[in-house]
Amino acid sequence: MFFIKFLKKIIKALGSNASPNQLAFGFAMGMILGLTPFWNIHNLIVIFLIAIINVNISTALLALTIFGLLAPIFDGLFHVFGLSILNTGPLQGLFTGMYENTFFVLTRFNNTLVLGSFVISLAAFVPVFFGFKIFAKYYQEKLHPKVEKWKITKILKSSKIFNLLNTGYKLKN
Amino acid sequence: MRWKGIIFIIVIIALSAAMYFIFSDHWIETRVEKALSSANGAKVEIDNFRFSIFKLSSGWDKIQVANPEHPMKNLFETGKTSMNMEFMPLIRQKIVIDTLQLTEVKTNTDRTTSGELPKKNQKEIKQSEQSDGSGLMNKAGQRLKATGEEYKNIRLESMKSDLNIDSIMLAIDLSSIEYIDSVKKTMEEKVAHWEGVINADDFQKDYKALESEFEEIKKIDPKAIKTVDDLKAAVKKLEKTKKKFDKVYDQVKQYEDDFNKDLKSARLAADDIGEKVKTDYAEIEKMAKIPNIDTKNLATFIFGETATGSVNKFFEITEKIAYYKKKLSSVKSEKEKPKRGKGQYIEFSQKYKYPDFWIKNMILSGELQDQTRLAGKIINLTSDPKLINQMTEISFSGKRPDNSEISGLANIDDRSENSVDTYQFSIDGFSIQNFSLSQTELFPYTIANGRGKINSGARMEKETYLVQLDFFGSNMIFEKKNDAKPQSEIQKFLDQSITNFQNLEVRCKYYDGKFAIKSNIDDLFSKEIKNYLDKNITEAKAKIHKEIDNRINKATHEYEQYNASAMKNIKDKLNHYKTEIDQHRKEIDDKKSETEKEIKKKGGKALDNLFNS
Repeated sequence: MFFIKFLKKIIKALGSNASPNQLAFGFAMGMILGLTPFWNIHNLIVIFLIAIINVNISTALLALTIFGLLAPIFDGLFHVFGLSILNTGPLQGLFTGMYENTFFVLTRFNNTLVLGSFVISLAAFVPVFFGFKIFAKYYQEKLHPKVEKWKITKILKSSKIFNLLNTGYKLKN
Repeated sequence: MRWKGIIFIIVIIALSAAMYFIFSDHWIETRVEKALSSANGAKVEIDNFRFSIFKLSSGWDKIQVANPEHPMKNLFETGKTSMNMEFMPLIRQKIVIDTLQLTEVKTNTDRTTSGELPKKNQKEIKQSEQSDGSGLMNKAGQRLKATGEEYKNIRLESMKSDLNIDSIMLAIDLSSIEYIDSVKKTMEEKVAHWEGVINADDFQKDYKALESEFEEIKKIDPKAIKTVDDLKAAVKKLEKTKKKFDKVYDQVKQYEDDFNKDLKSARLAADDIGEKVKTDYAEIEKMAKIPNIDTKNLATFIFGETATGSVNKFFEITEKIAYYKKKLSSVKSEKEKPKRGKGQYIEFSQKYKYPDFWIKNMILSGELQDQTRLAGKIINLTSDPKLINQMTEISFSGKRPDNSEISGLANIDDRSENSVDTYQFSIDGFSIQNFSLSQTELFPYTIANGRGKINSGARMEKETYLVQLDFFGSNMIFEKKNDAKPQSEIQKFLDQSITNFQNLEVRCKYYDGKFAIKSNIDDLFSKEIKNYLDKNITEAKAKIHKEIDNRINKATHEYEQYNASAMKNIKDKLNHYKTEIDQHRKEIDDKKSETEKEIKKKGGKALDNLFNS
């Protein structure tokens, strides 16, 4: 049920009048949540920002799902990258200062996976933002009318079927 | 700015906080139980776990640690426990507990449900344990056990009937006989060599040619030679032949010297026969289980099995300590190979460098299964002693139900490769009523009354172990065991002497694979036991020695006979040559002086004729 609701919301959000900037910003922030280990202070800040800034939450959730599934594949890459940053000579003074600071220790910056994935997701933020913005524009202008005509979209939008599935789900539980 | 969003965040935070206060204890409890169960190899169950993030303290009402070998028993369980953690290490994923207080600790308690882990977990644990096993202590323990078994097998009383010297003599090959054979063989080879040298074709040919030459010069008659020049030529010929004989003489002399050298080395080898005979004596005596009874090893016979068993228990305990030490330190090694999805934590400063696990003070109090009350503490229990540069110190003391006092100290030092672990343990004033000190037939007594004291200590350095175990018994009254065998002469004596024996001392020492026991009972028993056993042992030994001597004498006689005849033969030949050559040389010299005289004579006549003409 959640998946259908979620899919319905995604299609609705992409087809809505929401600005491509809002959609793309939400997607890029969701990417950070998806790529980096979830239980971290920086993700708390990202969630907080998603909640208070006028960005699209559905695209953020879409990115969280997609990148959350992709993240384990790049686990080794994140570790190696994080390790190389943490071993960079000129940064040792900075890292030592951070290590001795309680707040930064709580961010788990000294974990290879956390730092590696966080830096990579930050680096990917701008390209992903602009990439998704282009896609959102294209979708709203060209793709949306076609998607609206797809049978699956009609089924998803049909409140009758949705209600039927919803009732079935409630009865089951 | 989305107000709805802010409200949503506030609601989420409030809910998370509520969830944390309601469910966190249970969540942590489940995780801690899982981690400890995995380390223990059987269930570890915690009741009412409490964790306060603000006070950084936690505790529980009860913890049960199941015994992996007996799942229906607990290794131990505790009552109320509290601990205080340090904040700075905690945020760096390290657990540093300042004080852990365990009360009402009880060991070997019964369980209502099985403490066995699900099969999947067991498999994982078994796999991880396969790489463990320090082995060294185990080996020392095994060696000690074997020593104990050896003592058990020596039955002095039944020795006589077990002794079948004839069958033992038939079953073994005497090394001395083999040695004599080898010496004889070497001698034969040498004799063959010298015979070959003396009878060699070249030598014989040369010698015969020289003999012919000698026969030729024997025919020289100086008086028949007319001129001085011919006489001078004859002298030269004689000198030449003599030189040849000198050369042959030197060669024969050289043969003689070399032969004597060989003879000397063969005699030296024969001198070792005595040592070989001693080895044979010892070997046969060992096979016949004939012990060398003296005051030094009497206690070993009597208390050996019991003492080795006690020292072996020590090895079992230290083996367990080594196993848990390895478990503790293995927490660290995981860091080097990060698990998937976990990453690796890099440390940048020594200031906040902590071991993964460190209990600074652990205070324990509780009761053993036999109702012994114990209290103690463990200081610096850690996964990385090198990092904190401290050793783990364990100390405890308590009282047993019979009012005896028990105490122990252990310093487990893993700070460097050359570190030393030391252990001390003592029980003072315990009852030794109905206690049996020995399982041997030689000491068939139990103690009807008395108090005991045990002092033990151990030192472990790399692969060297020193274990000392002293037992002191006071005010002892011995009583004959009910199942003791019918009295023999020796036991009658022991019964009498043990009546007046009240204070016993047994001191055991295990060091570098060797085990020794000393006791004041040695002096008491040794004299009479020696008298009793010596007679039998001396007889048996004499029989063995006689049999060995007979065989060896026969072999030695054969060897000497051969030696004498072979040597004589070669010596005779060499002497014959020497004598013959000497004689020839003498004859040549005579002939030479006769010729020279003739030269003088003929030379004088020639001068006279010259002056007179």
